[in-house]
Amino acid sequence: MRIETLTDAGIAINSRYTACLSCDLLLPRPELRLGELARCPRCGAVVLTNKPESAERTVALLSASATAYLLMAFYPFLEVSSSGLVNKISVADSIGVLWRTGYPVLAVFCLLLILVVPILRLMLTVVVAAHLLHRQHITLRLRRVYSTALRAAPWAMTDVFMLGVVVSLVKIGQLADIQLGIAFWALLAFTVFTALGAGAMCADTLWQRARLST
Amino acid sequence: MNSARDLGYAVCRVCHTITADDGAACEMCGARVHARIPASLQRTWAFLIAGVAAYVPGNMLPIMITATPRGESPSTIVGGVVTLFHHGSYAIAAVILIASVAVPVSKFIVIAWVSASIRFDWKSDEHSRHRSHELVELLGAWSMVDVFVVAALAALIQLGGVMNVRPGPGAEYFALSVALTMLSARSLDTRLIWDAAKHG
Repeated sequence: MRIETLTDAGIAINSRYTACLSCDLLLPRPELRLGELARCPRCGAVVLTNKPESAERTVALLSASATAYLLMAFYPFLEVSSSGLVNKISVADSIGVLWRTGYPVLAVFCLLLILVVPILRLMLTVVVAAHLLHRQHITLRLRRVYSTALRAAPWAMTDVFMLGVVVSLVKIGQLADIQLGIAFWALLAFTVFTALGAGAMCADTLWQRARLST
Repeated sequence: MNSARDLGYAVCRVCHTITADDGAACEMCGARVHARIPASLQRTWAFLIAGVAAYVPGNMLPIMITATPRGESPSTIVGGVVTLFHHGSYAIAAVILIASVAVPVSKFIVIAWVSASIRFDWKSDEHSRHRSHELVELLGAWSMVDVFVVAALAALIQLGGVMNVRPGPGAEYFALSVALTMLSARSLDTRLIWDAAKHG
């Protein structure tokens, strides 16, 4: 059975109580002013947040990320020249080389971590934030979409890849002439804007809205 | 202090929604809700043991192979750190050493320590166990950095007959180890730390 709206019992308990996700302490639901956050009195984990202009900031920052993503994925991020040979590589090339040299499983795994999961998570979050801005009713489908985006987050590793690129730059700095391509800066922008955008999004605003609108 | 489970409730770990239905799909967000992750410690140990097992070949086998006209030189993760150190790239050597050795090894130790402390009801501070586990979850993904370095270098250094770099079999095992230990850390339900505290 699909539940489109919340059950009365669910609304009743949830409007009065909340619980810490990290230690399961049941707490009276705190009333938060904008910008405040509530911590668990027992374990100290954040229980609830109420971030200001959460949907507006998320849409703005993640739109910037999406633009950066397009540049990052399709343009070269480094150009190496040594003894007259020039080699330009894009993010896709560095995944493709794994495939060509006999590591297809690793290539697919890296493709997921660096390109697929980050953009899916970004798009799902933008869709949810845009709905939060323009629509009153938050459907179950939308809530599921956001739930998926939250659960995918640990597997988005563009930031780690960024560090990897910097390390490899330093490693070959002595061997060859290197020029940074547009995608290098796009990668940096994507990493920063995605982190800020994900941080600006207030999940509790979404759940609270869904609870009140049913 | 009462935990939600003691009062007959289960809390969704994605959206905080409280429900009386342990094991059902969350009516708010659709995720499966469990008062405690089922067989949490078993899952944690299973992923951890597999992760440690994959870490061994990940370190013993070469992660990268450099081919020059003078021949091929395979290098392992630790070998790469030593080379960097000799070249005077101390900062980069430290980054790789921390991400590929210090983080994974402390991850193994912390996960084993926390799950053993829950299983055998050891009396140790809940806050320190909880925070250690949190840190391990936060840093877990950064161990992938060396795999990405290899991917970037292998794509970059394709300089005809002068020098070519290709990945080694260690890279695949190492990536597998990182993924498995991330799954292990996520399988460990931190709420169990606090359950044990109350009975002690």
